[in-house]
Amino acid sequence: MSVRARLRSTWRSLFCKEELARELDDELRHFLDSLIEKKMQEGLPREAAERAARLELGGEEQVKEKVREARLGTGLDTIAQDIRYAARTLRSNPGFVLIAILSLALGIGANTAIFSIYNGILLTGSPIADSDRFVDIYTREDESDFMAHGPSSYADYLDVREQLTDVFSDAIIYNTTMPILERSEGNEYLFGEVVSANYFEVIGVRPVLGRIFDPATDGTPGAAPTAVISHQLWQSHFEEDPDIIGRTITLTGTDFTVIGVAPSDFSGLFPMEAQVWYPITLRPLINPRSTELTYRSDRTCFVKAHLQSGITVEQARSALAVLSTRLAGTWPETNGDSELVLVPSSDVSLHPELDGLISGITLFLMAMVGLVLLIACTNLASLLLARALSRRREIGIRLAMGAGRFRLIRQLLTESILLAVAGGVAGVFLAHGLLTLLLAVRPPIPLQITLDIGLDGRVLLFALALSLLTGVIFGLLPAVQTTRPELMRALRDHYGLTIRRLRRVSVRSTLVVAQVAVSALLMVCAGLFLRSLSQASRADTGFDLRQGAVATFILHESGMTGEESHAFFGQLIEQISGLPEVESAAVTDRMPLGYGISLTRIYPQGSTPEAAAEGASTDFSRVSTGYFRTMGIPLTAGRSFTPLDQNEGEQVVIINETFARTWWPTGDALGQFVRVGETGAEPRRIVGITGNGKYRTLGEQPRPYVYFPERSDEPFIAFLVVRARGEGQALIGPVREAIRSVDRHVPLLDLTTVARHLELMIFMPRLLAGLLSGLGLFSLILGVTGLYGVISYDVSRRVREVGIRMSLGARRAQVVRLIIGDGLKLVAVGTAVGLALAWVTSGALASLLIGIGPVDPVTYVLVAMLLAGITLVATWRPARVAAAVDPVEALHRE
Amino acid sequence: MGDQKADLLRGTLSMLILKTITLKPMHGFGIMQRIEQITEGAFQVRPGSLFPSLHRLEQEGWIEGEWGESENRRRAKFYRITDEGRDQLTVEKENWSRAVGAVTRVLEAL
Repeated sequence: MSVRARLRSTWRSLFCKEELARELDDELRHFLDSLIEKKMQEGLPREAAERAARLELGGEEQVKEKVREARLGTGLDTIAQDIRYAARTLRSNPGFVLIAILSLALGIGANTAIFSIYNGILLTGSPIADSDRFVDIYTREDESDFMAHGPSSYADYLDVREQLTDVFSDAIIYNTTMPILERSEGNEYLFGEVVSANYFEVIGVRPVLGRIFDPATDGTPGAAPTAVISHQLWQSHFEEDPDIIGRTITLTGTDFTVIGVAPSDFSGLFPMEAQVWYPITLRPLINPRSTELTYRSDRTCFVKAHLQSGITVEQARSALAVLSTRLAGTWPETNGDSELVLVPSSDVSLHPELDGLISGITLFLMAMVGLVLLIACTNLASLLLARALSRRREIGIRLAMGAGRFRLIRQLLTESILLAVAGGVAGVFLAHGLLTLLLAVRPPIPLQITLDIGLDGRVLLFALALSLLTGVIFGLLPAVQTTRPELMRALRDHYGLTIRRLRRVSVRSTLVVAQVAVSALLMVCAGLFLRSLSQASRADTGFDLRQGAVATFILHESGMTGEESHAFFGQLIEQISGLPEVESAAVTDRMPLGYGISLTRIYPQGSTPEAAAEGASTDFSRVSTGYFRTMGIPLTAGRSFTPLDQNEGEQVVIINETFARTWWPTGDALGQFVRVGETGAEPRRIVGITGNGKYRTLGEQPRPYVYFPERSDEPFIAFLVVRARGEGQALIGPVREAIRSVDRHVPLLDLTTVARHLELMIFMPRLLAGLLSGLGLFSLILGVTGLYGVISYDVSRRVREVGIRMSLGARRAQVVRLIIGDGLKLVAVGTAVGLALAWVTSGALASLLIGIGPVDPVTYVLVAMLLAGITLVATWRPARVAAAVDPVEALHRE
Repeated sequence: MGDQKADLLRGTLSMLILKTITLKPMHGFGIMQRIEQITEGAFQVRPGSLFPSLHRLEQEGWIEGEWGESENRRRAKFYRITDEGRDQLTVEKENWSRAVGAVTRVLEAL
């Protein structure tokens, strides 16, 4: 009953406001009339009775206000009323509202955009059913970098699956594949996954059409090859033909029967979009040289296992450790130095180490955009404080009429939250635009990455929460300040703020200092990336190829033998070298500053085992004869490779200067022998030495590097490099033609200019430089307007003081200096704080910088100078206003 | 005369309202008059406290308002005590007696 009554009257308070107001009017009228009648009965004449009654009632409006408050206490009723009142107040200040909404939209929009990237990459749910009960199993070969969670081998997977049945109900294995889809329209690469036959069943993905793999038949010896295709491939290549089931597709010369179509929201377990799945046991059909199924040392696969019910992650971990030790005992040469480790799948988005890197970058960006939003907030707080002065009469009157201070603070907060929500709505649209722009800047890699970055419910919730928080942050301080009871004096004394004025200026000054500090920090970060970009364009890459093209082929699943691919490239280089646009052409299995790294142990013949161990992980690549000429890599000693080296001749290598200096400090490397890999390997003679270069990143220290001649033992991922006589762009068409004319069945993964290829290296610095410069500029504008506001206000309050100074003989130039000096003081403090913050925090950026350290003096000095210059601009007008004060008029003013 | 009138103690008004309307439903003016009459004018009920209190009590579900015709033949809102209101009145009476007893003991002890 009580609850029902309460609900009913709350309902009435909210939706029957007019009826309630009418009833209250009636109730009070009856009261008043009764009172008047009583007074008249007591002998007062009608007019006197009415006056006395009204006096006793004590202000009808005030009573009504109290009744309304009583009805809901701090309830919804007054909130709705506050919102209407706030909207009305704001409507009368369109300029202020515009500035507020605009700066909030930028701040909230930037935050929302960055958050949706974080959300899209790291917070998206797993496509796996029951994903909380899965663990990822990795092989730890080395505590450092990515090998702490390296891929695993098929043989180890089988052992895990067969021997750990009491902790894992099942386990799957998957790896990448890039088969060639052969069609009459032309051949092309597909990206796909080779999987254990229980893959779909274990992760709980149902097909939209047909069936999934059956471990009893699919992929077993003697069974016909079968494949599942993605929904996207079904749409783009087969017009969503429902009869696709049972049809045959040709992948690298092998016919596969399509047995199912995966659902549209499933694109595999790698971040790249998978288009096809086939059983891993069929891999040899596509790539006969693959050692994936046979060698325990071939660790390229990823494993996920499902926990038995009732088994904890810890129990599984110790069971895995026991198995790992046992395997190390049984297979010391392959498993002796490695260990199987597990990570709960729910803790991993892409890869344990990659996740850390990505969340590091996005958290850094979120901190930066958060700071910008904070500046916007302080700016608005400052504006609101200034506005509070013009509203003190209104506030004073409301306080006098009996409005509670809490109620007024709530009222003022409603205004700021209303602004913030409006800014938030605009910000969401802005974020949408920003994301579209950001995602248009695709990293220069030729694969389609699965990126589900959009404004989903979580992002919108984030934006809303951020808006509300923002509203409270920038509204609370001004609201508390404005409603201080001392303001009551405002009613009596319009100019009575002499003491409080100083306090308020100092609050606003503090805000300006904070803004300048944050701007300085942001600008230092932006500056570091801008400097990195300019360093990058000047970095000595060790090769001189401005105009050229790079064609990428992935041939290990092309069905070609090593002989055939060698012949193909020989023919291709000959054909392309004959083109009029082309200076020379060559082939390599690794482009410097590209996305692959190849490492092997290389050390001088006759090294001690300890010294040989130091030679672990030397970068290398295999190159064709014309490579050094085509790339423009200078040979400082010896000779280049010859066709003889590529075939039956003596085993030779070419090394770079750093490799030479590392092993032969006295400089007699040429003609010496090195061994590669196992200590028993055939030694190879050093026939040439090249200059140093940049191989992995533009910012790296000189590293040892070794070149081997390209030989015909097996096909590989290959890059065809072409040196242009003229523009690199002009090569694209002719080179594509030439490739097709040599072998129209070999699909081209990617063909682009060398310049575009090198963009990969500066992708992150460029993206961050762009983002941070934008943020820095925005924060600078906010800071400058804040500074301008404070100084202008200060000048307007100091007219009298300036007048006195001038009548005492101060010259106008001195007044200008005084005002500008005040501004500079504020900015100097802010800059010092900001630079100190940058000094402390920018170390985190070191790995993303090129050619400069995080404490780059040039950047710091430039930022300080820029801020000083801008202070002059922002304070110039207020200073001139002050200097134009007429002393006589000023002294008579108050 | 006005000097003699004390404002009601904080929190007692709702108890007095509940008590006043236990016998029959009354309107605001009636309640005010009744309280002043019973206390012989010692307590003055101000409309600025009376009406908010009435609406708060209605909100709590302790009293119910309904429109009817008053003795001077005007439309007036009559408040009736509910069962919850009677329970509440009992609770408040007990609290009040305890408070009075306690204060009295303190005063006598001094």
